Amino acid sequence: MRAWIPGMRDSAIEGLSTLARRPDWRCADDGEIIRARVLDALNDENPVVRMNAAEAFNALYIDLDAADRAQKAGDRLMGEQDATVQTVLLKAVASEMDAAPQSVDDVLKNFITGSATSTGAEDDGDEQRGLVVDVLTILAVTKGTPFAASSINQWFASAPQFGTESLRAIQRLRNYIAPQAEPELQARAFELLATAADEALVVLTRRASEQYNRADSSAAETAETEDALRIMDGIADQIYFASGAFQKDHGGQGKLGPSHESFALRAVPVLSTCAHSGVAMVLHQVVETLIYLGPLNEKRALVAIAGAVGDNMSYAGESLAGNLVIPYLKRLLAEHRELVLFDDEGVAAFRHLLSAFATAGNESALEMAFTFADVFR
Amino acid sequence: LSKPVLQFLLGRVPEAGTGERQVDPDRDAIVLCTDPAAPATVRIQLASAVQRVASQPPGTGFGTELTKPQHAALKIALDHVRRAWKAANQSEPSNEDLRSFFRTLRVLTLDLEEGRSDQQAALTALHRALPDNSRAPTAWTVLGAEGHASAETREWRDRPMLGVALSRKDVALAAPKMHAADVTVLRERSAANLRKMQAEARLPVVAGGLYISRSVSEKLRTATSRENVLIIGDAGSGKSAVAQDLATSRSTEEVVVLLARDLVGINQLRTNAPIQEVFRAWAGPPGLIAIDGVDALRGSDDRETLSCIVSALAGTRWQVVATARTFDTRYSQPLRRAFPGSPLTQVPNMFDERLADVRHLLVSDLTDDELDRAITAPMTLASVIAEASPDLRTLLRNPFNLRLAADLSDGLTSGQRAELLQVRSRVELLRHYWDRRIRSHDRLAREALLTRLSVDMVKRRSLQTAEEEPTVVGTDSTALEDLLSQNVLSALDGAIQGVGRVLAFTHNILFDYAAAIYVLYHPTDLGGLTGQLDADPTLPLVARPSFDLLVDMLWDKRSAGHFWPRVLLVAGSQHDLASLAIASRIANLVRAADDLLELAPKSGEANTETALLPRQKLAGQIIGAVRAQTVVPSMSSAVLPLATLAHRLASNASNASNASYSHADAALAVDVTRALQGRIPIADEDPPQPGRDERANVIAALLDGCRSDPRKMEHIAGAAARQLKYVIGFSPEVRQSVRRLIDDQPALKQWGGTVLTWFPEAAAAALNQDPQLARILATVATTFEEERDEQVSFGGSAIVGMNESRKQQAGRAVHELGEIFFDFCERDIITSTEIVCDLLTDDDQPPEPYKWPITAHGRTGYIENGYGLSLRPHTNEDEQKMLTALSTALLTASAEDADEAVGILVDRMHSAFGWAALIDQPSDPAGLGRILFAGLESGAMLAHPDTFPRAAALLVAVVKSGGAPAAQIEAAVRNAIELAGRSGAGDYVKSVLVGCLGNSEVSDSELARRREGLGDSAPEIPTPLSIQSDSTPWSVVDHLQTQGIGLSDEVESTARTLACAINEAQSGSATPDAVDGLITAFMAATEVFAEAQALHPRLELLLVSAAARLAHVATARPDSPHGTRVLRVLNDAAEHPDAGLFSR
Repeated sequence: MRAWIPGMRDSAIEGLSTLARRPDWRCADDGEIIRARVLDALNDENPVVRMNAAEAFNALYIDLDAADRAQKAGDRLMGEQDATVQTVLLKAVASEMDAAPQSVDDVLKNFITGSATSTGAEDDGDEQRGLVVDVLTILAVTKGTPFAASSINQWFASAPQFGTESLRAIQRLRNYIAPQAEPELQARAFELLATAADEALVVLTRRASEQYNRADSSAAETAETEDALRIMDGIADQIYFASGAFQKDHGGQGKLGPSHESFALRAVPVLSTCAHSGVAMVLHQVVETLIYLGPLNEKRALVAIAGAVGDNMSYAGESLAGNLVIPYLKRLLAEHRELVLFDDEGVAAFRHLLSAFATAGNESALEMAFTFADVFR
Repeated sequence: LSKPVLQFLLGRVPEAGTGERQVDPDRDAIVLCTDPAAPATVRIQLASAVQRVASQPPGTGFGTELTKPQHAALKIALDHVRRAWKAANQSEPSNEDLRSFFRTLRVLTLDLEEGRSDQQAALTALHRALPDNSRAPTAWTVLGAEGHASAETREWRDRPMLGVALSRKDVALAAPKMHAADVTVLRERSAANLRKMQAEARLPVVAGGLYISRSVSEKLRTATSRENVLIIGDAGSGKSAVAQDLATSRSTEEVVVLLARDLVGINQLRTNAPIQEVFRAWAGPPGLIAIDGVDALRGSDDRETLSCIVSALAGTRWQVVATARTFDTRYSQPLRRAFPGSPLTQVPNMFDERLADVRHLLVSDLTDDELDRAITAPMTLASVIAEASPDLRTLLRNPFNLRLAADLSDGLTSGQRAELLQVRSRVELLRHYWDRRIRSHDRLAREALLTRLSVDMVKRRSLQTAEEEPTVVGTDSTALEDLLSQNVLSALDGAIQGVGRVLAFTHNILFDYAAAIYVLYHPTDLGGLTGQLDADPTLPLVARPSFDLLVDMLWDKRSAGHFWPRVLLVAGSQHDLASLAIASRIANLVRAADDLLELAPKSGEANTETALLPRQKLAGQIIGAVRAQTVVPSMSSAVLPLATLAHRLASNASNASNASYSHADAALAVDVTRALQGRIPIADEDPPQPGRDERANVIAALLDGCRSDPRKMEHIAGAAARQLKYVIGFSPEVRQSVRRLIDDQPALKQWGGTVLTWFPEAAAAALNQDPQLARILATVATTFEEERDEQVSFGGSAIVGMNESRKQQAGRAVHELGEIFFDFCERDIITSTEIVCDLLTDDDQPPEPYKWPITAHGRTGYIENGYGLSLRPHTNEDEQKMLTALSTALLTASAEDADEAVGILVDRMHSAFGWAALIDQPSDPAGLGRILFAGLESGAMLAHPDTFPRAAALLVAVVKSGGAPAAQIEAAVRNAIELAGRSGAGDYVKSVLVGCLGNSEVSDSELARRREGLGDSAPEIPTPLSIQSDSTPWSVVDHLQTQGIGLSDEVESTARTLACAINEAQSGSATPDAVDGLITAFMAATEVFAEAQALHPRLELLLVSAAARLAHVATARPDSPHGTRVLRVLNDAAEHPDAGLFSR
């Protein structure tokens, strides 16, 4: 939000706008006077005054139903030139999202397709864009309104090209992928994340192969690659936090409940895609999450972790990685011997991980490889 | 009656499995107990009434079929019960509720005085539960006390707990009838187990076998605590023998010896009740349960179950002692949970420090003393031990090896005896055993059978296999029975006795050897092992000990070319775990300098930078193994061969004279030196450690080699430089290589902080042998000018990506030098002084160099001009630290060294900051003043704005301590006054300087005149100049005042108060006091501002801002005075022409 230097009229409207939002003042004798003042201020020539007045927009039209109110805010939005005032009006529109999703969708469509250059956009643009992305993401996932759905689909289908929008939307999706989320919403949110991860991986793979052929790359290509990495990182990050692994790592409850199984079913493939980025930072969160989800299905987690680590020696050589994975392998060896000694896939995955970390020089892995045969004594 | 009602409604009965349940009238009784002194209404009438009502069918009216007295008693009881029920349950009970309650209630009258009827009846009843009837009165007393205690504390007691309480008074309970059969089963199995363990604990060296008494057994036997203990140790260490020793020693108490598989798994003992229930019910005096072979349990559920059994016995009479391998204990949480506590002892070799939270006792190899005491003449083995080499003796301290040797020593010929004495390793011992027990007769048939058994066991990941085709065929009969009778194999019954025998080697190590020679070794096929691994890639994990034995055998034959080709083939394959296994064993086997040279670069070898060569992979794996103490416990033998290899690898780091120079070889060389340093740090001692010079030569070779391609080799150069401090002191080769590096500007420029960071420590290490080089290193490190701003890794973690700039990286050298400079100065003050001067010297001469001239000890110099602020807190902290160190060291240096150091400073240190820092807050001002007096005498230090106050303080200290002749002191002041005058200093400085002379007699007339002029009030030495600042909150009033706008006192005060109140109430978490303060200030301001003439617009805005803030406050309601005023202020301003604007 832009900073402003307050003046008399905008400060007064700020106060009156606050009073207009208070039920006790709206019902008071002076309620109408206050409303009239703030309504007038919506048309003030000064944008700071209009901004303060717009804060009370929904309170000024409290008698209308949500759809009409959203439409009215939308009409005003289309006539507003100042980016900061637009942002305040967008918030008013967004607040009707639950009650009038289609109207909000229509307003946003008009606003985005018809928005001309506005003053102050260079300062307030990020907040405004972020707000629009937030609202469209929520609408797309929870209500499936047409404009929101098509926008989100477009962003995620070409996530690295729409880096800013995708990254913001990925953050917003955390609530919908959480284990406690409604299954239908969770499925939709994970579908979006999977699409974005796949697209980001395509870009990274292409760039990696091009690296061998070309020494230089354009600024746009570099930006796209960086965004692809950020998208991978963002997705792994949101899944990690949504899973509850963070709470467990930080001494909280973080207990796995029945709802985690459907979460894990959807999360594991997406995490595996993120792991293919090969970036240690991303990979570490993937592995942390998979280990946390392990007790739901140890084999699934073990195979996924082995696939994620792959032949990434730079990751296996990190002490942080070793401190995470080796105790996990020890736990499996102590508590799930059938899996790591007799199940073909489990044995192969276990062997792969132990080999990767031991080869990378991890002392605990070496020690474990050295003493492993003791389990058969 | 209210208590029984409460118990009935709210009471909970403990229950196995569910934890607890409600009181159930069909199972439980609530007893209202009284004695014969109670009135008959209660004892007789109430008891009968309750019994009758409870027995009547539902719907029967209360009072039906009761006598009048019973009815009266019941009526009273019902009144009480209904009242208590309602109070407890908030509802009236129905008649059937009350009947349920009465079904639970028993009214008992007990005559329990000594010798009275009920007491006698109780004693008689106790006779049935006690094997010794004479203990009944004691048991009665104990039970009474327990009942009393449980009633007071509202706790429950079950039979085992009462059993424990009784046992404390030496009252034993008979085994409960319902578990009698189970107890018999346990006792029988225990006796069989103990007999077997006792037999196995005996060594076949004398008739009937020899039991070796061990100190670790004694430690367990004599432990006074009866806490549970886990006996841990490696396979073959003798854990079972220690457990049986304890069981045997506890002959006076009930001892139950079980194998873990008796308790859980498919072959567990069949008992009528769960085994923990049997043990809990089996009360009596303290007893012991010994559980052997917990590690034999494979499933996590089994371990969890065992852990639950052990936990369930807590609080009973049983002490549980179990055996498990160290490995299993370390990794099994259920096992660790079952034996919580601290180690039984802290005696070395009897505890594992990684199991600090487990109550355990570690069983290691036998001690020499135990061996010598146990194996004595005329035993044949005694003479073998007496003549054994140290290697063989070490080998025989392991109980398994000792058993093998005992087996072999039976009926030895002199030739066999000589061969046995030549044995140095376990594989040799096993080979002899194999020759005597297996290959001596019917070799082909026996080895064919053992091959099939080994292959099958490896394939099935089991140390046992069924005696069935195709593993065992009919023609194996003779061979099998021979091997069983030779004690090589053992046969166990399967689940059904007598049907389907299960075969196993009598010891795991025999299996390991068999797997090594029959499964892993392919005598005619170099690639046989790799092919075996392709078929079963997990072999290196599951048959790891066999790998070790195979490597040992092949290593012995390396000169015949059997070793390296095989292991390099494995290293070049995808079987990293196999190669790691081999590498780990190699690291334990190497002894001679050239043992690893097969891994050194070969001339004409193809160089590849994209993938490691097999020799490089194997070398890397050996280095990894060396880092892990568990993998290579003793490093001393490996140092020389590793260092020799590293030198050869490092020599391949240069492209100057080497067409196939290799970054990978150089990296390996660095890794070797780091790994060695981690395990066996280089010590500067005489005679030098083996490999010490080779290790130094590696560093020298790397520093030289890396310079041939500075960009590519930067990280390796940094890693080598990091180790300079360990070797530069004793190695002339390293010092020469460092000199060559310092002369190589392009390399230094490329590497910057990557290597410079390590120079200060290297300089400190070189100081004694080569002070000149030390000075150069310190100076180069601290004066290097890094121009690049690119980011480099800081900390090197890709997960937590942290970077620093090249400049920051290079700056760390100065910090490092500051940290260690005190030590530097203590050891060599002259070189240290030169370093300080190098650091502070500016090549450009100032415009007026001799404005502040200084001389001392025949040297002449100058101090650069300054303005009194060169020495400030938080600037040049590292340099300040160094000068403080130098100043401190001057105080303890010899007079000669101190004078020389001062001379160097005078000659070379022109920095005013340097001089100020040198004399800032010395620990001994008089001492430092005396040492620097020659310099002070020149006057410059005393008069220079940067040094004047500090130097004056030194002079005062010198005067007071009589540290210099008066004439020289006067000369110093005189010179200083003259210089001060020349530089335009005022009289104040001169007066301070004169004041420094104190009350001493002054011969100089000019000085005397000046001092007289001061009278009794000589000015004090000022504190050195410093910059200080403070701040106060800026308000609109301040803004107006800066614009020259005057306000009345009242308006100003009101405005300030209001501005302050707005600030305090601005935050989202404003306190109620802050909000109240704002309301008060706002109300006052509206009045004061209304009265003011021509109120400034900024103050009007202040008032409106306050109103806007108050609009959020809940108490600003439409009907409140301040609410009304808020609205008025806002309304008035709503059409004001002035409005705000966005910043941009």
